[in-house]
Amino acid sequence: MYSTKWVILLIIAFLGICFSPLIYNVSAPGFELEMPELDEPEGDHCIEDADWMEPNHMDLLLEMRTQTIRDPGGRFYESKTYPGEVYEGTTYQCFECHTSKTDFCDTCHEYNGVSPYCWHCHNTPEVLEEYNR
Amino acid sequence: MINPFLEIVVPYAAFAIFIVGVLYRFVSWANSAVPLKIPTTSGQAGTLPFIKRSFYDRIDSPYNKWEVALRMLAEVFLFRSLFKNTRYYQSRHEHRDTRWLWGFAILFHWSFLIVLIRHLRFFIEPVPEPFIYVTELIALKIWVPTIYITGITSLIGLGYLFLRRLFSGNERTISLPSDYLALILLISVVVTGLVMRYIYKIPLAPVKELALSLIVFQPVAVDVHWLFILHLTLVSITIAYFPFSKMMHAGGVLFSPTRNMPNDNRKRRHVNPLNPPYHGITREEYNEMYKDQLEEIAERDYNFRPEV
Repeated sequence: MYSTKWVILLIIAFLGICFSPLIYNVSAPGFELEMPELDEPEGDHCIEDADWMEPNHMDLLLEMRTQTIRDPGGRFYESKTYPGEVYEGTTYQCFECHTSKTDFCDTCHEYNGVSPYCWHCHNTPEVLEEYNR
Repeated sequence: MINPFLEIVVPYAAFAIFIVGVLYRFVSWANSAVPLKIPTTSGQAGTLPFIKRSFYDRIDSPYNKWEVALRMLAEVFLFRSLFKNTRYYQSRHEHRDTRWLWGFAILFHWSFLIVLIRHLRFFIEPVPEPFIYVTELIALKIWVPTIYITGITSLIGLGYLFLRRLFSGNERTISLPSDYLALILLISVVVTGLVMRYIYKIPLAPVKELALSLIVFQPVAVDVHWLFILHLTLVSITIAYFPFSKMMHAGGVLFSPTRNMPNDNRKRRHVNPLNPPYHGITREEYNEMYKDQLEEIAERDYNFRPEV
């Protein structure tokens, strides 16, 4: 083998890159394979079907936002899964059941490495609770 | 039944083929002899000290290993040799720089690298805060979910590389099925990924659980969406095909003799490793070998006349 030193260096670098997630996971404190359990919401059911809500809640929030600020009388959103049930298009509607952002929203978002920018402007249940107190 | 196979067996098999295949290619390339000194150069080579060399001369005609390393880095990260691409126009009798290929190639490669790095959020746990912050820098916050620019641009880059082969006559003539296969695989991987993010959203938590379980070698057949299984299978096919395909140019560029040799012919002798071993002889051995002739010459008092 020619220029053995460099080839071995290259092979080590290649293996290091390929197995870097494994090395990180083994060495990092607080490694959990499964997602921590979400905080159980208070109400009966969500605005839409819960299985649909898990991947698509951002679409619902976006639609509610658009209706609320663009359509006349659009502050109310009628559920498609549960016809006839009308909800207010505001995050406070969500907070009635999901009483904690840390234990509900953040659990899943942190696990999946997502950082939504909703809360740069909007209130969270925690802020609300502190305000009310 | 099909889920454990596609979620556990196929990715592990593909990853094993990838690692072993790439290492095999590295070792086989490293074992190949380089008979001649063949660096491609386009600059002033290092010579006498009073002949000045600019910075570009140092990159284009490296004289020592640091300049070789600099040129290799520029090649890997900036594709300098593609940047020099020209086309000759016969009607105008002139060369023009044609950098479309360079532009779209660099668009695709950098986007794809950033996409790969950002995928780490599915492979590591806990995800560090700075990592999320840095990867969100390329997010366009005009939509929900945020639009990752690199996902779109990598598709644009791949689309150009693919359509170039279809619609450019020259390219179509020299394109082989394997050229299309690599592009089609990458495009299908990117498209399934984009569909899962923007169009048909799927639950993420099981996906990450599956990815983590695969990474730490405690595989669990999690019930994930079929679109993700499609994505995973396509990725598995791609990385299993990687060492045998032209995608191996990622490692091959480091082994290219035209790129990784310093242009120091005048300073250092390049010995062809294929030459039979050369054994010289000493003065004493020479004297011993030609003893008779030497003595004869000495007898003639070193006087030579041509035999007529």
